[in-house]
Amino acid sequence: MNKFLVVLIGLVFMFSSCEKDKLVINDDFSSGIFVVNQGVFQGGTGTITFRNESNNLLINDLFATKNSGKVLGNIAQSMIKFDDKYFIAVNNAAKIQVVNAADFKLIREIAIDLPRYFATDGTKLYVTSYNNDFATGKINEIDTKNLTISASINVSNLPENMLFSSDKLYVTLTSPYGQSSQDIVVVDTKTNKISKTIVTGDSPSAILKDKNNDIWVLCAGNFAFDPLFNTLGSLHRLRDDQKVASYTISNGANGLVIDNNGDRLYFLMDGKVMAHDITDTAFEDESIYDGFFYGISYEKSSNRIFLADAKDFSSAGEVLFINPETKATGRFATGIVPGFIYFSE
Amino acid sequence: MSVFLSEDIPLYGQHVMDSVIIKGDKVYAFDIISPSHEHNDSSQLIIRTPDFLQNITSGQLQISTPGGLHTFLHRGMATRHLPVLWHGINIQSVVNGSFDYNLIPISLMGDLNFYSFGSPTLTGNNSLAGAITIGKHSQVDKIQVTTSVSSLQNYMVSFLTEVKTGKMTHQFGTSYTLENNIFLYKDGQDIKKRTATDFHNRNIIYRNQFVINNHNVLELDFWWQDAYRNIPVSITSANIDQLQKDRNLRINLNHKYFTSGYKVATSMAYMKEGLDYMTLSIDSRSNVDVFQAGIELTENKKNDHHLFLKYRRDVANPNFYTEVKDRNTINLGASKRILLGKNIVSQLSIRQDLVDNILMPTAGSLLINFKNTSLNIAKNYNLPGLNDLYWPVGGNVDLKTEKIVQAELGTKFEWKSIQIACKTYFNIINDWIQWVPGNNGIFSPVNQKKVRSTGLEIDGWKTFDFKKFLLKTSLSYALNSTSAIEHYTRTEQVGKQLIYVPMHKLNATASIRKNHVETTLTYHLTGKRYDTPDHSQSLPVNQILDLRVGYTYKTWQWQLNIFNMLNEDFAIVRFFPLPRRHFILSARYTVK
Repeated sequence: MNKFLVVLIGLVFMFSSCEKDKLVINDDFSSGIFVVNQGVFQGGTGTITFRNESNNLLINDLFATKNSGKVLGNIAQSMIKFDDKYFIAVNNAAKIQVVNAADFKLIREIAIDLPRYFATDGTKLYVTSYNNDFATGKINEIDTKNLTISASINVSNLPENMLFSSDKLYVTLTSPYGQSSQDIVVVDTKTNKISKTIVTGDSPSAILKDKNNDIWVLCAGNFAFDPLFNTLGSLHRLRDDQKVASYTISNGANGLVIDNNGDRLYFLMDGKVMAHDITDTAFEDESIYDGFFYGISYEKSSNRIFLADAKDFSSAGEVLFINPETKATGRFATGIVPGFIYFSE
Repeated sequence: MSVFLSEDIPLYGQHVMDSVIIKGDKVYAFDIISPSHEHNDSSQLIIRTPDFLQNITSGQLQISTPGGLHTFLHRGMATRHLPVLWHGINIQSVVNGSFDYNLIPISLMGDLNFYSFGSPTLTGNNSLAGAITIGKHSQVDKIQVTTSVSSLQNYMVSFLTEVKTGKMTHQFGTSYTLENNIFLYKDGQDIKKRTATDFHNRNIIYRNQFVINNHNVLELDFWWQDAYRNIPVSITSANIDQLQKDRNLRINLNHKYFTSGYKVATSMAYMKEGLDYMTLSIDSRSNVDVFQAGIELTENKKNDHHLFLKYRRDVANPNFYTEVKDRNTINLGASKRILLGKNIVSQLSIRQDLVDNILMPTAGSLLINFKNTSLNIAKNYNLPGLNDLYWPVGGNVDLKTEKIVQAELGTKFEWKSIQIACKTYFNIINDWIQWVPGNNGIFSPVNQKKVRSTGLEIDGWKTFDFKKFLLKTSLSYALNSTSAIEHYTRTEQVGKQLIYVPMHKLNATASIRKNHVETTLTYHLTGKRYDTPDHSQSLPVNQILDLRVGYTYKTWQWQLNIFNMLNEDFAIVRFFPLPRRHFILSARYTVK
């Protein structure tokens, strides 16, 4: 046989035996960095960006990748890990997507209007939600075995972030547009009833506790129909459910986190990342980084602040992480409108 | 192509009672400009205005969902850049700059024309991307009844009649449309049913032409519209009720006085435009009153020159503004026809506007026609809408007007018995307005970028005579490149095609007519469209095949349309699926 023909046939067999490498992702998603991307408002879908720094793996749209292209739904808001599952609140799609933590495959959808944020003490799991009137809401307990909503507490105003502390659940009630709320409600999780209301500042939205078990509440201030009537934000320190310190800050402040020592707060305000030591007796207006960010989170294990940059709110976003002490930075790409960053360990 | 709208101009001394019927005005602006697309009922029944726009290859019909907002992006420019003219008055919303083409009852309006360039100087500000004109129905018989039924559970009935009594001609029409827009769509592996739109659209029109004498004609046009619908959300969102109501009343009165050399036209118009949008948490109600008055002088014999002075007042009182907002506009313009040589006709136009006592950029255009070749050059501007300026949280009163410099070169010729028309165009828009998030996360309009839109359009037609039947074919291709050439905040977006603007579009038709039956196959190809500014996501190419079979015999005209014969799953906006294969059966009965 002609030598050339033999070579040609050989080449044909060689190339035909090669299959296009398929992207097979076998990683375990039980731990890592998750970015919850809201997606384009009203018409898009939320996505989850996953990053594993140990093997430099970055997967955008992890949910669709592991669930045959299924979409999360419009406005993915937040997520939490509980009982080897991830619970993802998809706000405008009125559902919580529950996935298996290891392989991120969908287990079930829980129907719930406008879910917002989760909190857990390790034994119970709660999620806040708005009602469709955008003026009232609910604090919901999730039955984590049957994956249903087992109890709901109606509240006026809009429940946002929560904190478990001393067997109580503290829930911030933020102001509906054009209205005013200054309340933190305290829920007895044994009875699922509100046991107390604490008055803080206009539109409380974020809450955490420091190393002394004092509770810190960030209030954004009210947004009025006429911007001239917007009110200022505030930061409050609570001890034994009483306000012991209050600081006035700008309208629009949001996203409160605390460092791994539990004594330095960070939050977003006026296009900056602000810092406040819990020992400061006045608000020092200290900023550690400039830039408008849509979300902030803190990774205790690495002492890094993670900042979500939504850019123009219709293109792919980015997460920037900085070490607040060394100021070393890094970044990675995300989906559209990154808003919530979760560290799963 | 026919000249834009015709009028039998009564000449001084002639008895004109019988010859002047309700037809459109011969507007000087378009004297030597023809529409690029005309709606003509005689060969094809078009039940919905968006179906007419679908055939315009140089534009992209933007549909969020059937029954929802239908806008049109022409040559890559925004919907606010394309005026919709009713009696020469732009009826786009002065509040948000858009217009829903669902709302034009095409069976009552008839003379719907699209101009790819038009005469922007004489049209007015915001005429950057051509113009759409709504004319009177010029082919009305004594009685015309049109009805249609669709497999999407959409229904339409309209009635139009024209009666002459002495010196008066009356046209009366009414239409009622109910669109449920129920259809199945594919969501992953599942087949689901789309939420019904329950879209009711009612229209009443009345037109009157009174030929007072050989010199004087009085015309009245009344259009009342009431529409309400439920707008489905995206398939990624939980279903909520979104109710929209459109309430519009438009009245135009004009008087024409004819001398031996001139036509003097005076007009007055009043429009009341209402738009309500409601959900459980939103109750938005917009009301705008529009008053317009004008006087125009046109040289009669050769259309040599034309002058106009117009005043328009918009008073907006939506419940989401902190106070009533108004806008007062005075337009002063002139146009002169100049013969540059044998077969070379030009038209030079200029317009100066005064808006709220502020002098606006002077608009001007030069149109040169040489046989079948035309060159248009124009300079114009676009005012920000009232929402852009006064939206309570984020409105920007410091917005600058958008400014355009544009040119179009077109020619027609025949090659091997194929009629061919080619156009190339070039637009530069400065200070393009875009809503963007600010540092506080609140969206606000800014002058964001400088945009260049260029393109090439080629249309070809050929008719084959097979003796026993005629085969008419046409092919229309549009190439467009529209991108920011300067971006004031995000330089990484320079050079990227604007979202939702396809670079390639193609329409092809093949039509056979035999005896009383005409069968037409239409192929639409829309190229890839990016739907994120950074081009990280795009919508795929879609290819849609439509079939139309029409039967005309004596007083009846029947038509069966089968849309999307290949049963494609496609969307123009992501997560808003459009109907798969569906049909519309229409009928028209006329009494002459």
